[in-house]
Amino acid sequence: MLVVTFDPKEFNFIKAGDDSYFLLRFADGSLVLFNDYCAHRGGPLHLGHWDRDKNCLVCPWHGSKYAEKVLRKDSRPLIHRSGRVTAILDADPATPIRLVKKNILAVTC
Amino acid sequence: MNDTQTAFATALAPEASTAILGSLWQSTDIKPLIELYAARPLFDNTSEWIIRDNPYRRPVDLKTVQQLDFSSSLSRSEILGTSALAAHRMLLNIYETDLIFLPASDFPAKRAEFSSYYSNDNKLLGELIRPTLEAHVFSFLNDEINVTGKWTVEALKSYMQSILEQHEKSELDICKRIVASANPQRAARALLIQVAGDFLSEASASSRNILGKYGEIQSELFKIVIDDYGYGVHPAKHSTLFENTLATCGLMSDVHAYWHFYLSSSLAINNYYHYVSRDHSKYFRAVGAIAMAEAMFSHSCREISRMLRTVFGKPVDTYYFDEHYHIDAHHGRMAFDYVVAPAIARHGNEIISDIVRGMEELQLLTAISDEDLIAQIEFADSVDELKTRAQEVVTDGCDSASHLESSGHSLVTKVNDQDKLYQIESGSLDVVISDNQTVRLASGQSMIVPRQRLHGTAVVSDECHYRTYNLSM
Repeated sequence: MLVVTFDPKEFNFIKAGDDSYFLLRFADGSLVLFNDYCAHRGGPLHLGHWDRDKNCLVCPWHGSKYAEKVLRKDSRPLIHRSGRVTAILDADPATPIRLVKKNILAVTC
Repeated sequence: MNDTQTAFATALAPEASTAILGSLWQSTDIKPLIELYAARPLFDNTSEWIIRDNPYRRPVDLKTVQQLDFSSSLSRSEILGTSALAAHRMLLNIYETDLIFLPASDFPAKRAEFSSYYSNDNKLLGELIRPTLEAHVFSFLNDEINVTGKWTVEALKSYMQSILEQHEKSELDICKRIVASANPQRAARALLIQVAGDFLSEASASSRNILGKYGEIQSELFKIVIDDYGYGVHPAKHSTLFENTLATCGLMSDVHAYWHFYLSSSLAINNYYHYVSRDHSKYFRAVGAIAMAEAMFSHSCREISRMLRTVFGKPVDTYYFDEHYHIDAHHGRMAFDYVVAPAIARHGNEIISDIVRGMEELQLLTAISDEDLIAQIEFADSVDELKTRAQEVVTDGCDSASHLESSGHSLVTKVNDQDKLYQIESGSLDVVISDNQTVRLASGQSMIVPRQRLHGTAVVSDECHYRTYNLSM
């Protein structure tokens, strides 16, 4: 497995080989790291919008919904401590990674 | 029924008891109980800076406690301040009534204090105030650390391995700072004093986790504990090995002899083990903390052993640290392979976030403790500069207080929440920085004590008139 530590103010998106993950912040301040590909047809979830009425992330391609409970439960293992995050990715430790700052459209609060 | 009986009867109904207890913990009525606890004679100031062979005398500084508010949680920037020090001192006193301490000599003369320390009054009062004090000093951990996501044992193992790989490649900052100190032996002794509060009763807090009945992992955890206890062979007990180290560095091994010189952050680590081990709902956090501590301690001990030999030369007995360097390599592996992983297999992945939390909390508290001790060493090394700077300070507009004190021996160390200027107008005042560093200020002299730096003061002339100024931060 691949362990990545970074400053979430500087980066919010990880490319690890062919996989991508984005950081999502909830109203209580907690962060989750979620796979960027929608399970339906691979849509870029970081470009989805947050439905505040239904409390869910909506995929921009076909509208698949991811409830907050699901996002929390199925997100990657992540530790947020003293301004830095450590993510544990399901990838070989030698996988090349790129940290990026992206415009995450899903704003929960 | 009278009011008390009514209250008790109501409390027997579960919903009512939760409401009553909930409001009790949050109530400002706890403050009088905290003051009552701090006012117990055992916790009064002492007549000497070193407390010899009396494990029951543990000053908490009543005068300061009376001025403090413990009702809200401290932030990260406040956890080395005045109320943190007071709270941690009281918490250690509370927790350690579960441990047995006996003086090395003259028990009859100390019997009254022994009985008082372990009395129901002392324990009950301590239990009433404990949750408030814990919330005050440990809540910041919830703000600083967040664990999310779908953890598996493989993810946990990878995370732990990455932490250990980094740790094992590093030189400890605290060791580097000690060797570079203006007085390396003084600085090294300061480190030993900080860990003495825990190491002299080593594994007592975490031994709370081996009680009860909960399967094979209990027996595996017990193996780690019996290593620490030397398999019942007293000379092999780790605390005995540590006593030998202390002796060769010119330090006493009486329990809490150096109570006055425990930094708040050192008390915090000691208290943290009690906090997560006494409340068994935090068991998995305790497991995480213990597993991480065991794994990291091996390399740390190698570094400390090397540092002690550099600083003290051949006479120093480093066997405590050398033994830990060896055994904790095993303990780290045992803790993960035979306690953590089987616990997850048995109780489910849901416990992993608690385990990770424990690991992170311990690392954070250790990092804070290292920074605190480095700052204290820098304070000790900077006395001349602090006296020089004191002469140049402009005190206009600063809050000040005038003090007229006689010599006497009501001693307790403290920290200030702001930089403080001590200015002697007449007489002499000692500013005590450690067990073997005292700065004597005579009439006309002054010194700055930086914020959050532990120190004590003692009037050494018949009378001393001095002013203190809170300097802007």
